[in-house]
Amino acid sequence: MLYPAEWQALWLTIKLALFSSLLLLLLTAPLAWWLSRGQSAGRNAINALLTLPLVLPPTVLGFYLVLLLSPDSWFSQLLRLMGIEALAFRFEGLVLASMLYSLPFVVQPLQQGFGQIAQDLLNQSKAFGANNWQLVTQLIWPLSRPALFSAFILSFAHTLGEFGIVLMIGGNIPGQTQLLSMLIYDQVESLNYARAHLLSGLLLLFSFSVLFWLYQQQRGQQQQGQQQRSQK
Amino acid sequence: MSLQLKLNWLASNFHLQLELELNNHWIGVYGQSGSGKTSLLKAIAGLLPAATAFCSLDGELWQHDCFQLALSKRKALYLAPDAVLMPHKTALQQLQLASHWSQSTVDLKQMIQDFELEPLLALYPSQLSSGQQQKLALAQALIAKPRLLLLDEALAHLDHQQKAAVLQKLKLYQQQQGFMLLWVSHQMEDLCLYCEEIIWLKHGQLQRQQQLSSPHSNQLFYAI
Repeated sequence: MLYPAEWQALWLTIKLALFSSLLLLLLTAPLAWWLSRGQSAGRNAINALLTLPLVLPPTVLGFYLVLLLSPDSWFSQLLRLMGIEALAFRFEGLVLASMLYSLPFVVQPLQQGFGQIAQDLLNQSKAFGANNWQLVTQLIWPLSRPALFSAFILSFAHTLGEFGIVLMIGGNIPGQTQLLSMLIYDQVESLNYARAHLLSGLLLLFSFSVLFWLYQQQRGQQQQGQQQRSQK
Repeated sequence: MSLQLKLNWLASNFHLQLELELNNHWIGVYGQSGSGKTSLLKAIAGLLPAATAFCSLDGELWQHDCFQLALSKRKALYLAPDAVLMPHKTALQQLQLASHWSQSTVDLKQMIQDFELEPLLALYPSQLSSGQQQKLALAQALIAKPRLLLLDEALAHLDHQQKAAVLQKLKLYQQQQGFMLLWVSHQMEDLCLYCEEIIWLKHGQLQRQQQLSSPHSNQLFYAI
């Protein structure tokens, strides 16, 4: 059904979505925690900065990334000092770009989820004598698991649909940076509508299933909560 | 036990200014809504560091200027009118966690029996009535063997009969464990029945501090 090049692009797309979503979760969780613990001008500034990828056209982000990842930029020179080649036209570069692009999709649900853990509850647990490790494992982790989960799914699905940035910094190299969305673009350009249909349909179906599943999960949790309350 | 406290806090429409020394075990806190009772209790628990100029218990410094003793070292437990419970744990799990966190030696079974918690053990907080939640929160606090127990209307959702039973048990545990108890209540009769001393707040200031010579017999405060 799919040609090898298409399988390759599909696999690369999923790999990219997995890598960038997991890394993003790990790196932004502490930041989202800090943001959820109160209000201040500093927090607002950082919130605004993190939301930028949502409103900027991908070309703007892509343009800055092209500059940043080009072999003679300060960033690439710094990487070279650490023994890493320039990231332009490479999978690692795409991971970095996807992480920036999906930032708001991870930070916002996390921040919301963390924000629902009442400060009173944390303070009381501390007063009981709980140490930080106990707070994280017994309180914060179980209470924010749904938020971590939806942040991951949102970021994953969002990366699947990434196009603009990939176009600018990826280079469309099969096996390295050629994603499904790029392949569809190529097929449409060469008027190969049959393949474009197939690949687009695949992506559409997959994205719909993921989002539908996510909403089902959320509804399930709400219903559970209501049931518990009505049993009272 | 001796608690020394100095509060100074200027909020937008409220000025809290207090200097207190408390030496009794059962202390009632009385005053109109908005007189600063909750702020007083929260400050002692370490939850209002900006309002607290000085706080010490039995000579151990809890807060002074920039120094602030960690919440986990104070063993001062503040119980709010709406019990603060872990939404994802059953009543039994809450009790067990409190016992584990505080490395307590208090007998859990006895506690469950004393506060008649057996039928609630498998339930989550959202399945409990507000009175049951308060009872659970109190038991949880007593398991942790506090040095200071701060009750902010923390028994107000219990019916009359249950409250009397709970207070009896609370008295017992207080005598066993020897903690100091500050109790905010609007029920002057309750305060007079149980407390050795009553402080009366008004507009964020100490209006009156009154020793009751012996609880149960004192009628003096009714006159104020």
